[in-house]
Amino acid sequence: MLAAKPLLEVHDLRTYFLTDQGDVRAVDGISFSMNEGERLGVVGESGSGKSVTAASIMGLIDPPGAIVGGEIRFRGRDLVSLSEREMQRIRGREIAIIFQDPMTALDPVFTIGSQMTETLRIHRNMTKKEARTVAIDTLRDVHIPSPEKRFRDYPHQFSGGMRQRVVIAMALLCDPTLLIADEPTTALDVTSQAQVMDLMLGLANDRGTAVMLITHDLGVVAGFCENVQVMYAGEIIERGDAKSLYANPEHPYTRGLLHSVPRLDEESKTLYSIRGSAPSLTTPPQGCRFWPRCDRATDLCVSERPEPCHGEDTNECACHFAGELHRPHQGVDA
Amino acid sequence: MTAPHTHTGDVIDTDDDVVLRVEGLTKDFLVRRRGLRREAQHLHAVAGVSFEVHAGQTLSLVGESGCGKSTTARAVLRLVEPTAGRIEFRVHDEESGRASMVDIVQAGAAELRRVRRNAQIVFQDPVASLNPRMTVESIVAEPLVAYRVGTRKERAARVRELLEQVGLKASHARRHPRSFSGGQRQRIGIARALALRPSLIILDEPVSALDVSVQAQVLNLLDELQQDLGLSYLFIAHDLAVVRHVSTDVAVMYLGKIVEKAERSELFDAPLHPYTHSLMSAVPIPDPAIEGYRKRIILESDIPSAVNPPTGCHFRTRCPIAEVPGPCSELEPELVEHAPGHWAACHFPQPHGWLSQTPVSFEPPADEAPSSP
Repeated sequence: MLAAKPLLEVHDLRTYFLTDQGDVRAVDGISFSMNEGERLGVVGESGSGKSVTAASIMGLIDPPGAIVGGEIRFRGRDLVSLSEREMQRIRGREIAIIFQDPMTALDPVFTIGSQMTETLRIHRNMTKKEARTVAIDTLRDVHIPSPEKRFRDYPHQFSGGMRQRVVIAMALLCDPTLLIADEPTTALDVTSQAQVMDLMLGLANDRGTAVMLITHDLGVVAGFCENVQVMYAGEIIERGDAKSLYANPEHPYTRGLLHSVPRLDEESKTLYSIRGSAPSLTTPPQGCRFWPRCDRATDLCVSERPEPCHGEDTNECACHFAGELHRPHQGVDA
Repeated sequence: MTAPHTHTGDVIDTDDDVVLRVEGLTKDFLVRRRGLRREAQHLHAVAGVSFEVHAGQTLSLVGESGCGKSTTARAVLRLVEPTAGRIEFRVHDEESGRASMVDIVQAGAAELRRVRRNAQIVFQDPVASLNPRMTVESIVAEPLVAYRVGTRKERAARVRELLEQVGLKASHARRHPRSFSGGQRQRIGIARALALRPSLIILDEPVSALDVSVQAQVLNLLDELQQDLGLSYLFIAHDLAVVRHVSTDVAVMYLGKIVEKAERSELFDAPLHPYTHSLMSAVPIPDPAIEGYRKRIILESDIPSAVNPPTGCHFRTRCPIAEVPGPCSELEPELVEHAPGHWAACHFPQPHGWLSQTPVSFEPPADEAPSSP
């Protein structure tokens, strides 16, 4: 069997925000790859760099932010070196993104129909009539009831969940090979979230679209992604196939995170809690960035940065003690 | 300083351990329609809600946005004026050592002041609820000043004590809110709520804005405080997993009404209302092995308008088993006690067995049990 050719290869990407208080190293040397049709979850808490990763891939980093190093290869082309004009041709057509707030993608003063047909006419040179047919079909694909009628509605006439579906429809108009979904259901209620995730899973399967799902919610990832990578303080600290990563997390942060979430199927008493809070990205700790909060940090962790994830293997962990964590230790396994 | 705020050993006029009893609470908002057909309409944010909070326990109100849970929380303290209903709150009289129930809805200014001393609220957004110009010391001392408790020196000592109680340092007192992280700010909010030694704290989505690791810290803190101080909590949340973790009793709200109410284990192990089943099935479990075989009830359409709720059962437009036309569209179901302490408002409550026949169960299907990890 031929090895699948990576669709996206990110190598040693660094995206910094250059501020008066110093450089904020939002993304600091991450490497990973994604195959065609793969569903990858990028998990992390606020400030971990997951959204900046997405924005870097899309070429949406504005000053004072800048990609200061590394490369992002999409089907072999380095996106970092492309001009804005060239990038525009890739954005939307080959890589599409949806955000947490659907209104960032919708213009309140135009009907959703006119916004959808505009996209199709610019990107796919369609006539007005063709565009209308495709737009209505796509609205039907995302389960908008009576799409011919809703085609003429303005964004404010849709509920939050419906609006996010409209945005998904717009993202799919040009049949992208990669869809980046940045916290797509965070603003939605749990029943709408279930609707949207169910819809995205069906569409990704039907169309073979690769999806990068960026979220803080470990539960949403569990039901959607084949592979997961965990980010902390601008680095990927662990990656793996979802089943083994959740069952046997190697990194103390991943373990801590998984044990600190209350679960619907358990009646837990005391939650494990990771002490302290995320470090400054301007002056991150020397050595391992997680050591100030880690239960098993040693002198080695304080002085030396663990080998980062290279993005070459499916299962990787950036911890000096990776592979040794399965023996029970105080706290996390309690 | 004030007397210790546990009520044990006092002569009480109430014959049970109910701290808060809400009966038929209703809150309508007037919404005006603009345009040619201008008319007044009522939005029934809370439509006849009844529940009790017991001493030292946690009652959670859970539901999706617009279900009326936050309005209920605010109406209990009359931060919004209730339209109708009774809200009885147990107040401890220091002189006589007696506890008696005060109706908050009828309370005059002086009585309301006494109530609010004993019942505090913590909001979701720790940034919006703390004045950025004030130091932590003045924020936490504010209730003490408002109720003229202690001298300046005594208040400063109390503030330091409170900060330590919520896991902050006494030296943090002179700093401003902006120098704290989200989790620390929520701790400041909790310290302020504790200042007057209340018996009840209303927690309105206290951990929804926090990151997972910080959320666990704050939930553990709330649990410790409850045990140490004998506090009662009215916990407002949308996250069922958090609710399962913190609650003694749970009430599920939909469109301004409680549709199901039970003791925590009873509710999560044997839900009766199809909405509760649907909500539970929609919550993802952080375990790909379980998510792999779990199927969901995907509700169609959206929550209807609270201005014009559906006839009969409010949930019937989205309910997977509604009989329409039929009882579900014709008759509004009453909240009925189906098992001791387990109430549900549904014409066709689904008994225990329904869980295994519908795709809500956490149990793997018998024929394709997953291999152990």
